[in-house]
Amino acid sequence: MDKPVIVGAVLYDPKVSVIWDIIREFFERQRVPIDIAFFTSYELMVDALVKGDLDIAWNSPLAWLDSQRKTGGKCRAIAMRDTDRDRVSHIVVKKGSGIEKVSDLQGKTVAAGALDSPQAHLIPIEFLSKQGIDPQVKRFDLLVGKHGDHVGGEREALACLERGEAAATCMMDLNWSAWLGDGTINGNELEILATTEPYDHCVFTVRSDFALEREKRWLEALYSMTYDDPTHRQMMDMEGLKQWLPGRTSGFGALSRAVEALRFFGR
Amino acid sequence: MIEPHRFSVRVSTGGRELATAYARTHRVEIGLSLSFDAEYPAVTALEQVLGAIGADLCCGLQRLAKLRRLEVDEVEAVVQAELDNPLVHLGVLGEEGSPEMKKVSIKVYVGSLEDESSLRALLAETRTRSPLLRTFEKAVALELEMRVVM
Repeated sequence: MDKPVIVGAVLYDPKVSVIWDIIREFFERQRVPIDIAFFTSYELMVDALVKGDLDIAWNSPLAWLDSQRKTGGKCRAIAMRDTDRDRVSHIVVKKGSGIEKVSDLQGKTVAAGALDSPQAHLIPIEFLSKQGIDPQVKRFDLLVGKHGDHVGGEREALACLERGEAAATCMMDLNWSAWLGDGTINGNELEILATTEPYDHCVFTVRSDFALEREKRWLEALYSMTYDDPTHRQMMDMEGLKQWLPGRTSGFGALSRAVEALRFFGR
Repeated sequence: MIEPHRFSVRVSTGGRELATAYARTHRVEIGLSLSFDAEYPAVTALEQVLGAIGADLCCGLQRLAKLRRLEVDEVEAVVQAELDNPLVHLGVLGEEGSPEMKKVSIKVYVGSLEDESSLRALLAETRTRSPLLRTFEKAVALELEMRVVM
């Protein structure tokens, strides 16, 4: 069997380790063994990737930008979930609050997720800023370093809106749908005011010197995971996808602009 | 000089990720230290410890009730533990702290028509005489709450 490919992932909830155990066993069965290194933050993981301690990093979109920044653009985005493509974030308001268009938010308080959450802070706040809106941002910095993977900040921001302490809040489309579905959000009380442009989310990232032959074997194993196979389905449901797709970098424009505008890396 | 009594079990994996503990003429299978997988197919070492604490309390209380001639129909305990930082157990780089238990909470339900003060005194005595409870209350924050069920 080949030397294991070392894959990095950020872990904030111990239960997520169960998914990675299943993925590790899947790769083992494909005879493409992987070792998994868990990190407490994306910053640490990106540093490990840059130093060569990792072969592949399961990067957040912000970690992708950071990897590119720290390697002078010498990383490759090799694979992502179908559900990582074309995500959007919503600006959500209370129905009947008098906020009917984005310009009504001028000077108002907008609740947001954690400082480093692309979906619940960086992208939606830049979206408002691009339209000349300069709200008071009330941020909920829960578990900074996890890039918003932990939805706690987003949930706190929602609660802030519901308490009437903000005129709007920011959230990812998947959370809007999930929270409407499970009753966290009352659809009679809240509505979407505006939606950002589409952006891409997590992506498996390698350095440019990662051997192409090893990458090819690893990707073949990854793509052999199919939703039609009941033995793969549970793993794919847990990871929230129906299909693995090639990585692409065309969906990081909105976040790149946000990072630039909010001077995220230079803070 | 009398040697102290030593309690002994033998634990063996036989090359599997599953241990068998042999105690006198009995055996019990014990899984990994802990698991976050609801479908993990064995009782983990941590769960066995919680079970042992619960059994120490429930059986101890039931036995003392018999000795004190108090009628206790049933004793049931729910034992829960929190770790200081479970991510350390998983080897997450950059995490700090320890995988040790930091808190154990026990809710004990006593089914009895005896007056509550007698049952509380029984619980206090059980606690005093319980080897596991006495050990754990020195090591972790241990909360013990009793409810009487008629």
